[in-house]
Amino acid sequence: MKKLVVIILTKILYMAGSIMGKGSSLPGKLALKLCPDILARLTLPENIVMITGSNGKTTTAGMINDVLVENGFDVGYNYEGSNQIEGVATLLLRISDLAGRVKKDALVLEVDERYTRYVLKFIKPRYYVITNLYRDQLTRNGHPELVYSIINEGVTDDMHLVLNTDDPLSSMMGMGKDRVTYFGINKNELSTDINTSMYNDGAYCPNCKAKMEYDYYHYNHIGSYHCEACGHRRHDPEFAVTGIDFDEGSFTINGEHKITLNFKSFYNIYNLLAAFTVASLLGVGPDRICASLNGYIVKKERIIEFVTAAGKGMMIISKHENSISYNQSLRYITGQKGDLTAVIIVDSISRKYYTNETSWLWDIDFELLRSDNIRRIILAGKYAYELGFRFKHTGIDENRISIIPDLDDLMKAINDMAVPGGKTFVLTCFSDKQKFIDRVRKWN
Amino acid sequence: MELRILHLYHDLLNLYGEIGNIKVLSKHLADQGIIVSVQGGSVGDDVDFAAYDFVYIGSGTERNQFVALNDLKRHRDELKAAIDGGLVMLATGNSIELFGRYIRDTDGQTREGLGLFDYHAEWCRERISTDIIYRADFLERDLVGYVNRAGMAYGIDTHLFEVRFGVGANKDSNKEGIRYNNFYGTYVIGPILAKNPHFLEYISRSIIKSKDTEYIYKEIRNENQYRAYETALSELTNRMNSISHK
Repeated sequence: MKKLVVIILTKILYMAGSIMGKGSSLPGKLALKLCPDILARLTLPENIVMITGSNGKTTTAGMINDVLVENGFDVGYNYEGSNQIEGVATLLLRISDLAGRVKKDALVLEVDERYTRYVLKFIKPRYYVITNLYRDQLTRNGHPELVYSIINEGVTDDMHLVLNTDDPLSSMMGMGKDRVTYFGINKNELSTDINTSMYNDGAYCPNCKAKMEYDYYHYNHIGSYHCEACGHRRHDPEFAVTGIDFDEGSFTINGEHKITLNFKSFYNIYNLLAAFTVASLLGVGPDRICASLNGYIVKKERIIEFVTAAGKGMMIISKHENSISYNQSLRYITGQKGDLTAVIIVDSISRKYYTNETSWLWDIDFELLRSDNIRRIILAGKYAYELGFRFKHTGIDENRISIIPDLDDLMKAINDMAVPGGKTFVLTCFSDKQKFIDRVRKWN
Repeated sequence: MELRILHLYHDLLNLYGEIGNIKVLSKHLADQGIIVSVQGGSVGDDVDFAAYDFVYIGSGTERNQFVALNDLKRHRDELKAAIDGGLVMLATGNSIELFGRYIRDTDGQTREGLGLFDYHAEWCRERISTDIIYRADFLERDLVGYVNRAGMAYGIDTHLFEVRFGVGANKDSNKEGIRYNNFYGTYVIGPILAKNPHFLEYISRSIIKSKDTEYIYKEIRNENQYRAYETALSELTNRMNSISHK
């Protein structure tokens, strides 16, 4: 009886919330308060895919959902912003019938890495995808090894793990497990022999802490590693990227399945590869997956194009407090042809909590912008001066750098200073995204 | 003048952008016209502390902290002699726990520290993660920064800072850090010398003075560093006031 009441109440609250344009976590939050084990009382489909990790989980979950839907699956999927247990509860109670049965072919659940242990108490995924574990929001998370233990607490033998074999930390979850599928990128012409980043989180084996050996790196500490002491190593991936062609804009999985890229970055390839892996495990044929993923457009909120008098521009979301996310965007920019302008905005560090913590700016490889085609660099927002001081240590010609602390001056700066005819790339976080978009609109 | 800097456990205790301290300090010294060389020293390396003019050690994960502790024990006596002899050294984040008597983890297990100083650390169930403003009698302006750590320190009698905002050495203390000779230790993480121009200048002067008391230190200001500092201080002061008014 209680279950029925909670289900009905949640559905009503959700509908009311939708009309008022409210977020989707509140109904679930109330449901969990009224009936803490409500999720355990639901009858869920067998095909549950759960996705967590530091970077790429929202994009990967979106890709998995889209591939499944395009291939005839009826899917329940929690959209961006509802990846905590409350959001998951809202979704499931919304799509369940009054008896608590969720009649879907599959569930695709993105779960915040810090909430996995709560969600896993009630929901056992058939496939559990961990995209990677990087330095991310350390003010809140402490450090990656802590996040690892939180996630690992919830892992049980009956789950089939889908792991990134190139990441020494998150791949460790597969140790001693029978049901693991690894995905990864094989050595290619972009691989390097040394790690040139500001830090090396792969220097020591995350399992036994002996020094780790690397055969090659893709970026930061992501690559092919092995530990002589305990044997922890990159496993040959069952789903491997065997070729990357950034000129053409495509990559190939297992030597035969080619996917075209709308956004040419390693990042995007890892997300697409994880989606390919999961869809394959769920029985979708490779050609059909490729057809769904070809030219996949990363959600609009993450890449936004705009125009100023100086020419075309593109805003790329790079997460603050996440150096690898920034490095990926920087690599994307430096990989572009022709002269261009780079704009970095750091105005609020987080949209979720207050902090003045900027240590992560010193973890980012801004040195990558030493590239010749980056003609102009604009550092903007409240933390523009600290960025300016950071850039002082990059060896980049200071004549190329402008510091614009007040965002109200930014559009004029781009307009006046950006390389004429060259594209402008703006890097910023969700916390500052809207501030920039509003100013672009006002300017146009 | 030539100065040699040792970045101790550069590949193990460098969790929160601490490489920034080395970048900023070596550039500031080089701008003085000093020839600066930086070396990393880590697990299994031969390290001669007497050969360096400055030693820096930063923060790491709790497991990396113990790896460093086990390794550093080999050098305990040489390190003690160097610090007693006036070596300028900066320890940030949880690395300060290595120099005390012991570290007690959340399960009550204790690990022996280097025992260079008479304090100990106890880890807490809840991680301590907060912005801070500290005051030091040897700096003309307050210090800004962040702490992100598992432990509290007890028994420090020669503190470095007084707490204006944030937490101290432990929950009952309004003092933080340790100072002994030219050893400066604080739980503050990250590029503390980048965020605090006055501390950068103070440490630089100390290093130069320890090498040559006659050498004339040049006042070299980086305006961006000063402006960034003022931004951070005003942000944190507003934050402090808004919390205390609640």
